[in-house]
Amino acid sequence: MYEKETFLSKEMVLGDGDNEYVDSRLFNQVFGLYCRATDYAIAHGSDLTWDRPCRWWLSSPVVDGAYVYVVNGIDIVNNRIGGYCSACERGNVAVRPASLFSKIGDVPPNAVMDDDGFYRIKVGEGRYPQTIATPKIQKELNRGAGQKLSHFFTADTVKCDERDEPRWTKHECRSLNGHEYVKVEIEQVDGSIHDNYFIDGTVVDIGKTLWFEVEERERTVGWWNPETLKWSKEPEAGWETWIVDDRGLYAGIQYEHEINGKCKESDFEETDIYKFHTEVFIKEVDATKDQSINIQHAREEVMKNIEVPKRKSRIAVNMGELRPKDKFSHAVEMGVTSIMLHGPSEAGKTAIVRSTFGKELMTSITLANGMKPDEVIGHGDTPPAWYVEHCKKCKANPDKMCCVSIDEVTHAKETVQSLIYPITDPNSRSVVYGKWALPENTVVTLMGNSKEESSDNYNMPEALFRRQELHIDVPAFDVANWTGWGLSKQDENAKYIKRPQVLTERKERTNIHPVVVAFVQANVSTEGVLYSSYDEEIGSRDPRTGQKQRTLGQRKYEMVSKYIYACEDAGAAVESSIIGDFLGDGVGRAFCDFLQKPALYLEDVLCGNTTFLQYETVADKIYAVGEALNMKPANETEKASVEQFIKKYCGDDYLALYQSKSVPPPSAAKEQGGII
Amino acid sequence: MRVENRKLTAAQKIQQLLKLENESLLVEGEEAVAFLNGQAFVVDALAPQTEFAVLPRNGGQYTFPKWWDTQFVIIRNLDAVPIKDQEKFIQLAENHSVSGVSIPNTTHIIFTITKGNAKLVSRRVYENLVHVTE
Repeated sequence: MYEKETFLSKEMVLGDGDNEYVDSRLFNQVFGLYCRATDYAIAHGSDLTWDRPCRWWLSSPVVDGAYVYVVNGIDIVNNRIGGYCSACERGNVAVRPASLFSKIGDVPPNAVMDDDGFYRIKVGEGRYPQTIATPKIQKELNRGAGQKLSHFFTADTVKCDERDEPRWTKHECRSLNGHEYVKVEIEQVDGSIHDNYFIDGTVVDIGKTLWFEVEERERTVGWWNPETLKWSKEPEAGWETWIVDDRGLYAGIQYEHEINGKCKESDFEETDIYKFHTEVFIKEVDATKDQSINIQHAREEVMKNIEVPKRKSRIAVNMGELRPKDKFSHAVEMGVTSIMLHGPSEAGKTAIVRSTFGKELMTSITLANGMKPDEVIGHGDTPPAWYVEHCKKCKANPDKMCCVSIDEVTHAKETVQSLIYPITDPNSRSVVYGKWALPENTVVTLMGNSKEESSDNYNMPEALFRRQELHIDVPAFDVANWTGWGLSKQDENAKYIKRPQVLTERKERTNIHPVVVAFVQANVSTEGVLYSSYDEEIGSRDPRTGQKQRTLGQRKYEMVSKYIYACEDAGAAVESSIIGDFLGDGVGRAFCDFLQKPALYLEDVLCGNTTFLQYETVADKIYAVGEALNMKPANETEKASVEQFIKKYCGDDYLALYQSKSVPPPSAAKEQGGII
Repeated sequence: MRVENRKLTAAQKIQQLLKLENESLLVEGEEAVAFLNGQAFVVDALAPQTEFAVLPRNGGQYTFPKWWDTQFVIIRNLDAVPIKDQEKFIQLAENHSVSGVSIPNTTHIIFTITKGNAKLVSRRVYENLVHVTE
């Protein structure tokens, strides 16, 4: 039962019998190095004078039973007997056996809350005394305020010099203002030579009676920085940080590693801590569980949340709807360089482009029937005038994006429209194929509308429609957008979009973002996801259904990948409405859901924190391999951890895939004289 | 704000509107712009495409419209051009640019049509013009 209730298994505490002690590296990866005591534990003799947190205690009896092995230099251990281990001289510490991190999901939880970015899980083990009450509450309770409760909480209060059977003391319990408190007489800390402190900094006053609040037992998934002694939401580079539990020490429980002279591995069940857990603690916390909660339902709810914690989502997604102008400028900021605006005449398409770039960074041409092709594509060795004008602007503003705006695309016949294929094609981006390349800081914007919106329009050829990376629909007269523009100062109208980093700096990473590869893989057999057909009569939106028409294919997913990488680089959330414009309504929604599955980071791999990750499907395995390839392990040891992870969760085939695509870590490359 | 309530002729209105910077006008009846004779370059809307485009030619040279350097340009007979072919005037009316190149010295472009023919002007062009009638 204890294992199910998140207590360590015998093997986790004592090893598997082959080893003298549990592998400290494994232990650290699973549980973290540090933990924090509760005030209740301090009241019963835990000594945390040196640091507020302390390292996990872990011991392994050895055959002669003479002393305690200390794993990985852990320097605070329980020693009720005292004296036979130098490490024990630091005092008597109540130690809470770690919950199996990977088992959190198996524990029926009571609730989940997101507190300042930390992911707190009330594990549903019930409540137990933890934090010292405020002075005001102390006074009120000492005056007899509140109501006396019939139940008690037990602590292991065996005095440090006692070697008899443990004597467990029950503490009375009172309720005040909806909170529950227990009364404890502060224990003498054996051998203590310094002051001891509660978490709020109050000195532990031996013999004094104090009240402690009974609280939900929570686990916090966060990172502890032993240098700054602070918690952080994200791993901090350069520090030895691990996922830990900030309420690490078990309230009031002291571990007696030896009982009746027995300290062999097989004697674990006879230790005090085991006895206390099974005979007292579990019963008491069980009794405090909120029985009204439908555990199964609560667990499902929590597991649902665990799968999509904010911090852990593959990609942060903003689910709000953006106005066309905001979509347009966001897309340009994120490196989209070929956009088509669809909308009726006077909807403000040109205004969107102009207010984004300003006249001075914008070069406009209009397609027209009967126009000379030379005007668009140049003549002989002379480029078209618009190209020269645009290149001047790009050269004068190398750090800003400049726009070539092509208007009235759908007013021109298909033969005229075909003139701009190479200009709009992301793979060409030149005036004619192979000639007069557009500068890198160019955004090409097409404007047009459907036959529904203007009867003298022509259909847009599929090839041209597909070449646009993004299609944005602009409704007729967007009053909100127009009002905002109308009320802004004239010199503030143009936003001037800085050249995205993605265009200037190529990073070492997979060609396509792993999440995009995985999504495609997951939908190989889903109709309309890999490739969707095009109806020239419909244009960008079906007037009958109101559904967006988007042409999906290899090029579109490459664009989505580019967009996601750019958002990651910029630290910006992916906009779901833009994903909808890339992929259409239905597929866009499915893709956003997919993005919110748990992400995989190098830290997770190194810490063995894969609780929330499931690699059952081919898509998930491919995602894991892709992310692993983007992780850039710092050295061979880290790379070995990554390989071990892939092997364990994805299997040998995917390990081979990883190995075939991965490059040596920097340190290894240096040693080999390779190019980094 | 002071409001004058008096009747103006088309020519008077045009004179007022010419004070607006870089606005293009649509005038019904050519006689209304007669006062600009001698100052404006008049070009027929049915003129060849070369009059409304900056076209490249060999040797890195470009052909500019003849009116390129004049301050006032009158484009007459817009209504004679089929609506579908009027796109070439959009950039002129909207951005004061031709073939992507900003017109350097022309401050005002005035399109003229026969009286009562406004319906023969492409909506896309029309929406960028100030329509002046008697």
